[in-house]
Amino acid sequence: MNSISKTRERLLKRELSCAELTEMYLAAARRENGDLSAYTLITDEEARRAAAEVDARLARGEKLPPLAGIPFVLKDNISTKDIKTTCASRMLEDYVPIYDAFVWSGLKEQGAVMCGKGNMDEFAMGSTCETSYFGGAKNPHDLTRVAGGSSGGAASAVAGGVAVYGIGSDTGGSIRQPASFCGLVGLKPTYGAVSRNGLIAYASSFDQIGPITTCVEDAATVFDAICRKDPADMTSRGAERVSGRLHSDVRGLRVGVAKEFFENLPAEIASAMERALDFYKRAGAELVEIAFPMLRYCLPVYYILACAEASSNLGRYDGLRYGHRAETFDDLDDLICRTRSEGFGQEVRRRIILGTYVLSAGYYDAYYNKAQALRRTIKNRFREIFTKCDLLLTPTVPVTALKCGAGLSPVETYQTDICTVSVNIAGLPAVSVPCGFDGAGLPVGMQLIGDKFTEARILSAALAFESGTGGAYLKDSGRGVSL
Amino acid sequence: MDREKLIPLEKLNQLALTEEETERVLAAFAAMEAEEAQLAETDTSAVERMVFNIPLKNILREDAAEKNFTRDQLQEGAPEKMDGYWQVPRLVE
Repeated sequence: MNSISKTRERLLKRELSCAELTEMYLAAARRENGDLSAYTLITDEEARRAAAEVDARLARGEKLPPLAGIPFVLKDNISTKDIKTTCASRMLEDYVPIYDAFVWSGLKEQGAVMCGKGNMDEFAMGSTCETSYFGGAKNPHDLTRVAGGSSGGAASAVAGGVAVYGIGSDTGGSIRQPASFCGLVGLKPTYGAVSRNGLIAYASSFDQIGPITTCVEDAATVFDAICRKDPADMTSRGAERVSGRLHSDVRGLRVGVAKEFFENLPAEIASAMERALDFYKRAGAELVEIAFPMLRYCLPVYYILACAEASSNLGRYDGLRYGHRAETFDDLDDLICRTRSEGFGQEVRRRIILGTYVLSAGYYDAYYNKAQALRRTIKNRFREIFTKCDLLLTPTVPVTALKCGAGLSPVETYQTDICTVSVNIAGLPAVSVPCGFDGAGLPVGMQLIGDKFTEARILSAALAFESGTGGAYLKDSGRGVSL
Repeated sequence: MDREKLIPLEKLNQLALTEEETERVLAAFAAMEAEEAQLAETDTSAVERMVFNIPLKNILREDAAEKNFTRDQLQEGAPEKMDGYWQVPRLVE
């Protein structure tokens, strides 16, 4: 695995050209994608175009932005003009956007080299990447395991050495959970820090774009490149850059520990968490016991609200103006019904039906209104918590990477999101950092949750752990490009 | 929730579930109904519901004509089109 800074150094020292670097990544992506299914599309032409531009800028002696020339993977729910954006769905299998997402447009301006679109759970609905219409991304550390979801392709590509960093989206844990499964750093920014303009919507009040990287420093670099305010997104606020503000001093830092997050953990994850807490204590942080009894309500609240928003957002796919259209039909209603039934996979259809139910007359108060009231209660509780501590430390996922085709029921799969969804409910930032391995050598991740717009604080605490443990929990899959 | 109550939801969403899928969706409803009972334990009578995490302000663009996309661009992804229109099955005989 290669970091952004290491790759940039090679470029700036002219030890290899951006074109050479890009060809190495494209070749590796083609070679590995049969095993990993990390990419839904490898974008050779776009990558070569960007690489040539970067080489020209280098030849002119221009100062390059931090991500210029660095090969990366963009999740396939982020719109790319003239390049297919499928959401890993049959519905959008041949969809080519006519505009760029704000995030992609900004990265392009900075000279970023997109090697391809990252595989994902269909419309970002899933925790294993297995609801992808194209088949799920595999975990580079063990191909019999899932990469996680929904941004599984981005995580698989980065851990598999076929992208230096990835851009994912996180609605209930979709950046942090695959980062945890693949031994990577995954940052879910504060809601509003990164523009959603051009991100194909799943649940609009939860969705947020963020980085998946091999180290904390890279997460900060990518966050800085994408956290710009966008006048076209009414929820966009932008955020202060963090790179220059990171430090590794946690003395006096109040680390909150809520026992509810640690209940029923497998022994190996529990001991990884204990070691992490011990690290912070020894480094001079203060551990503060916190109560978070509403954790038990977080999953129902999340699934009620996310499904409700999904049922509304996905109403637009009707086969009339773009996307999949059924080949045979009797009339207009039949056309739309067949198109939607063929175009959406089972998980998407299920969430649409559940979402419509919770919004329907007679059930609206008991489900949707109740969940919205509890959403405020959860947010208020976090506000109280952050008067007593500076951040919360929790496991990212209560399990390590699941076996492919494990055949879990949807409800069992939803349970893997127990530690991550509260962050999206309250719109907070959180980062997942590798902190151990299970008996099979699979990565374990811990999550640091901060108050809104405290990305610099949680990333500093993450950096302290990463550098203080000497990178002991970083694991190279032995795949892909090695510089 | 039962099969009969599921039919109007399918119609409303213009979706047709398979037989096997219907069983799985009903199982999901059973789980959700159990969750609803759990949520009902809480007293939220004095809590204002929350839709978004941040206060929203509607954004209006300047009241000036803009031409962002051409008709051809907008119709690039059309499954069927004719004479610059999206083509759909006949609605009126």
